[in-house]
Amino acid sequence: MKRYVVILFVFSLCLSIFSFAKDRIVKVEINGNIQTQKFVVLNLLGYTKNMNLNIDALERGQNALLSSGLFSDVYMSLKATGDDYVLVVNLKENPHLFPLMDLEKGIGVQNNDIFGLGLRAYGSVRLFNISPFKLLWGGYSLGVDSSSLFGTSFAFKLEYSNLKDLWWKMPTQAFFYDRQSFEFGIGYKWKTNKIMLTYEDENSTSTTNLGKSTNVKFVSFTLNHVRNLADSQNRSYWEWNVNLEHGLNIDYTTASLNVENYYRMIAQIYLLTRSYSVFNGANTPFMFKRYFGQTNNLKGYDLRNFSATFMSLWEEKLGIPLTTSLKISKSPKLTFLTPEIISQVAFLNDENLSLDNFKLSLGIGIKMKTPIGVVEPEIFLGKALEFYLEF
Amino acid sequence: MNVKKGVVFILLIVLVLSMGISKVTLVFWHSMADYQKPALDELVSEFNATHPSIHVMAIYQGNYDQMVTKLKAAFLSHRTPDVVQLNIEHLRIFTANSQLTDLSKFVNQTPSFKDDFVNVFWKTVVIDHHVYAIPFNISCLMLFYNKDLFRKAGLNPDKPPRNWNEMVQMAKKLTVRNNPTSRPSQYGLFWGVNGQSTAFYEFEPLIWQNKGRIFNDDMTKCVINQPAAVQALKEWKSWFDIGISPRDMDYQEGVQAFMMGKIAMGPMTSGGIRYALDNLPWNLGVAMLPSHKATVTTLGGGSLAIPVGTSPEKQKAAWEFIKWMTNTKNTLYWYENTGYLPVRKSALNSLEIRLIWKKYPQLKVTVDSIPYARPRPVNVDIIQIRHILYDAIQKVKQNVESPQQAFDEAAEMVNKILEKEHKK
Repeated sequence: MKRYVVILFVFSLCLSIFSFAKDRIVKVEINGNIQTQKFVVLNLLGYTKNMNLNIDALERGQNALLSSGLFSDVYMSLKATGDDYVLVVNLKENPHLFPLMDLEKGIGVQNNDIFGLGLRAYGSVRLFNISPFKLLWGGYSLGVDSSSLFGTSFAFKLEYSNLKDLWWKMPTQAFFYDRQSFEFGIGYKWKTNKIMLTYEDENSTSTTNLGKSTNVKFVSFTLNHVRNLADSQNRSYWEWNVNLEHGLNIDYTTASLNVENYYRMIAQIYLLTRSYSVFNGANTPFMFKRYFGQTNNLKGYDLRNFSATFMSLWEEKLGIPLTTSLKISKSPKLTFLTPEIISQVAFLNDENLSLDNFKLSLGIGIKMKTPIGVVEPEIFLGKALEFYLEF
Repeated sequence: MNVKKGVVFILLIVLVLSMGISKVTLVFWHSMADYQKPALDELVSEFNATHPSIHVMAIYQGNYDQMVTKLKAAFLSHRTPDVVQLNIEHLRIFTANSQLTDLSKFVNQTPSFKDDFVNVFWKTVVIDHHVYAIPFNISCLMLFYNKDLFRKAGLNPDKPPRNWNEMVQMAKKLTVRNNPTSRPSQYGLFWGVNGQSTAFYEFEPLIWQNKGRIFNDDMTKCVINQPAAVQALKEWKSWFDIGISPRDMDYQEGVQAFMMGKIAMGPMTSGGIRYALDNLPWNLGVAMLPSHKATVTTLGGGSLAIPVGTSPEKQKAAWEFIKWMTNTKNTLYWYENTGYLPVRKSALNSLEIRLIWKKYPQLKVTVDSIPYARPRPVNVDIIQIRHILYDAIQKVKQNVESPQQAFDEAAEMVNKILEKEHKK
């Protein structure tokens, strides 16, 4: 009995020592968040009450705050309070209002911290409608999304588009159509992975010779993964994402794979190799694209992520694969002007296997710093020796 | 008449408004070229953005030695800048002629300012109990090495040499010849000594590590020709003689060859670590200088001063700028983006520095070197003296003179300069 009492006493003592352990962060002071709500910052920081002082965890928190795009500077310091600490987080907010440009959806504005909740709300108007029916008005798009909902690991997307006179080309004929679409997605990220589940409901009505309406509902699943390749010199990292789309009311299933490899050649000169493939049974283009540019951060907005259908249509029309239409990089480290050499090859699989199905194009591009970000126009030499300009 | 009145009224309003939004413009001369300049510009731009009543114009004026020449010329033409970045060893050149503002009054008016600076750094700006500058970009000499070449030579890239003997042994393994009689295609070591702006910088720790001295304690006599310093010179020469270090390369060529992966290790300033990390195509290792009889590294770098002759309003604004540039947050920003040491104790004990070390572990060892860092000798004629000492070791390197002969001659020349100073 005495032994149990001693054990119990020692156990209680250990428990009390651990529960009053030094180096806990008992409070967080947040300064400089003019718009962003405090709880969003705490969520991004990954703070839990009385968490132990852990440099790895705080580094992850600092990175999460910086990569949220809400802040341009995150400076953390500790204030001792007895045996514990108060974490002071000094923030400098980024401007929250940005222009929005999309070849299909037009131009608009986006606010990446609406109500200080870390939500991005955007709206655009399609003004470049050059169909024979209307000169200017081409519809609108509205949406709200967040890659980190209220600073948590959850992501979501909600978008409604009502676009007029979009162009479509089939092997035998071309036509214009109106499209209303509603998209809703939820996602989750952990470590360097991200999953997203999306539901889309789309109504299309032809405005030319076909004159019929169709309704398509489909779900898609995307998994994104980033991995640093542990080579001896730590020069390369991979990023891949798989996407699976499945029609709910139509017989339609497509899988795509996008693999990007960043390889540091010398100093800050990186080679980005991007391979993209779509598997839908009938048509299997495979794209291979190489960038040679001076940055280790070619992150940007790939229009294919926003409007894969539109890009595919243009590829079919032009006979060459198009990849990125516009990249706006947030990296401040980019030089003013960076040349790029780009080559891409595509194999379009159809019933007749022939060399004509291999599409090759070569391009050169430049990356320029502009007041709205970094713009990368690229010129391609493609099929029939024509030049194509990508913005 | 009414029109005239209106014009006068408008002019008065414009005048009042312009007075209301008037700014103090400060001209800031600095020596931060190439890779440090973007970080400096970023700081200046941030200062301008956060201080609406002050505008700082940062102007590059060449290296530290060129800055001395230009500032001397500026005093002659009465066109001095409002803030100037001066090498810590050059302060005496200007304080000797009372050309720098005594900042003691500002320092004393600023609570907890002085006590937060690292003592050894603070001492470099105090002359005869007066503060003439504030430490800003303090660096120390570190051993840079190519981890990939270490690995290739079968050496542990995480175990750099700790002393001269280990350094020589490793350098032998790292020196690669295509055949035994050919010139090495890769050298193990380049202990280059810069003959330009910071002349003799890289050689000083070798003397101190061998427990030698360059000057006596009160800087009235050059004693570099005493045995310990001469022995250090002999040792340095032997690294060329045994073929582990290229004799025919000057400092700049050596640095270039190191960057190209043709040299495995050598001493370089901590102020270049970030540039090296961002631009070298191989893995960089940074270590404390290998020790010998003593563990010592050399302090270098610059400080921010206010030349005399600026108006009280500008002095106040300049002090605000200097205070801001050296505050805990900014000294850490400067450290992270260059490799220059944080000058504040609060920065050394901060959470942020630990986060910086997570990103750039190579920067940690520079802070570990601080207890072993020794400031460079200072004198009003230090530029001339350093070039005499630099020329002496070059003669030895090229086998023109023996180490004893070269340092005897150099000591004699330097002593003549010191005597002349003493007579003044």
